[in-house]
Amino acid sequence: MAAVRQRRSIRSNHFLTWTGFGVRLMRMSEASRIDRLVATMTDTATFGESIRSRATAAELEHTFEETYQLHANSLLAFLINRLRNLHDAEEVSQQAWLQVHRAWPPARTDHLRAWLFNIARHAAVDFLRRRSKGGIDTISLDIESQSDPMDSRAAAPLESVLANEDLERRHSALQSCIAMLPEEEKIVFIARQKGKSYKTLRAEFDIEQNRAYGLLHAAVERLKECVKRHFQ
Amino acid sequence: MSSVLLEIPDDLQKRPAWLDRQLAGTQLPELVAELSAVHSDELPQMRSLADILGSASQAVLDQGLSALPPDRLHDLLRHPEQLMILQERILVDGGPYWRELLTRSPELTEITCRGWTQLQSAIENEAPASEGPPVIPFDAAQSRTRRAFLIPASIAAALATGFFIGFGTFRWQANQQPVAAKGWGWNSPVVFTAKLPADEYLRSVADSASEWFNRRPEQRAELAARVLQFREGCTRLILAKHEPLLPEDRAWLLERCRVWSKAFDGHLADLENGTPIATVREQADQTVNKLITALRSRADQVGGAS
Repeated sequence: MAAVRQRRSIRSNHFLTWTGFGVRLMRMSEASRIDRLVATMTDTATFGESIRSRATAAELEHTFEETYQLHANSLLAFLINRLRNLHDAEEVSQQAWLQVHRAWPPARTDHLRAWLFNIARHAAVDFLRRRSKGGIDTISLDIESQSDPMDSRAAAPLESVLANEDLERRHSALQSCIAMLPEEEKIVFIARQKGKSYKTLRAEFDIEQNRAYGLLHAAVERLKECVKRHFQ
Repeated sequence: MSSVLLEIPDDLQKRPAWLDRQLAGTQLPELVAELSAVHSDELPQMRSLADILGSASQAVLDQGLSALPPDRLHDLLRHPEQLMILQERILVDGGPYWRELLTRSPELTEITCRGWTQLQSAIENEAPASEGPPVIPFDAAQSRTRRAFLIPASIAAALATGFFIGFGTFRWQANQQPVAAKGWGWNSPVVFTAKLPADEYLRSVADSASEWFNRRPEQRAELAARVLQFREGCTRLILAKHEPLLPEDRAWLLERCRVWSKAFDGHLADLENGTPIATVREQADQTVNKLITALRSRADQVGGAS
């Protein structure tokens, strides 16, 4: 029972640690505990072997935790980019970090980032393959068939974004809402989206600046309402 | 559901910082989908990221989109598909500015904090049964009668966990070897078929080469096999078409790869001649590091020229 309580307490401490996580991250530099441990060694090439023999299990867990703190957000963003879906990315991120933990510590630290991204890439590929075998997700199949997601930069990203049903709905909703805007509101909204100045708007469309402000505000409000209606 | 794009600041000077936050957030695919709806009238003229960023490419990676002239920033918004590519470059190659933005992102942090708790549980579940007692639900453990049931149940669970971990590890290890042998680095079936802009193609070739460091063989035979696999990758590189590259870049790549191949032949010969494993591995590491640096420098030149 004491062991269970202790374990719970450790978990609770972890939770508390992570609630102050953002603040800690701001203070942390890339010189993490791994680097400090590495600094005691002369040969980074044999980091994995050296650290296994020199570091305690607790120290290894600490270095893993700090690596997670430093890189988890980047890896998650990377997976959202690859999978075009937050929930899938969250799931795959878990799988990827579990694999990182199994392989921890890495053989070298000077390629730590590349190593982590590589594991994330493979986890994403595995995820899409598993899904496509189950016949669950045609969107994922589309993404994968354009090219392996490991090289999804090769695919036309817009097509792969719009292959996702939710994103395509979002695209269509906004497009039809813009089409329904009164003409002047549409002109001002599109022109500002394209980065045209109010001076240009006046020169090109003879719309005074104050009026243009009003039209833009009205257009944005109308579009927000319209988009919301589309998804109710 | 609310729109991401409709939150874009009207003040053009505030747009770079806003877009930076989107690139370091969770809703970039949504933003891209919405931007493509706004700019659908001018999508036919495709432009590459290198083309849009031009000479500001490195500055963007270092300082964010404020380093980009306003007209180019709006070019980027008019080609939203390039935002996805830019985000990946930022995540992989971005400097401290981007890393800080990413670690400060409240949306990402909320998810990764939650993920950490779940990860801890998963790791505990993976731990060998011999390391400690299985985690018994606190409430259940309070009941004496339940405890009588839980003891044999937890032993059974520990045995089952041990079996599944053992079986899983066996399967994982069994799966690892062939995958690594047939498809890492330049032996990957996709590395030379990517349809990327020339500079990104060269960077992806460099990224693939860095997979060399994923394994650190300790045995002479293992290291020889790994050197041989990398050397095979060089042959694949020499024989590939490299369609995204201009003839002069292709010629440069082939000439360089022949030099790297010779270096790897040398490492193999050293191994066969009894040179200490650590020495050969270090020399091979240096060769790989040099070729990665050369590929990235060439990519920067190509990107800057386009």
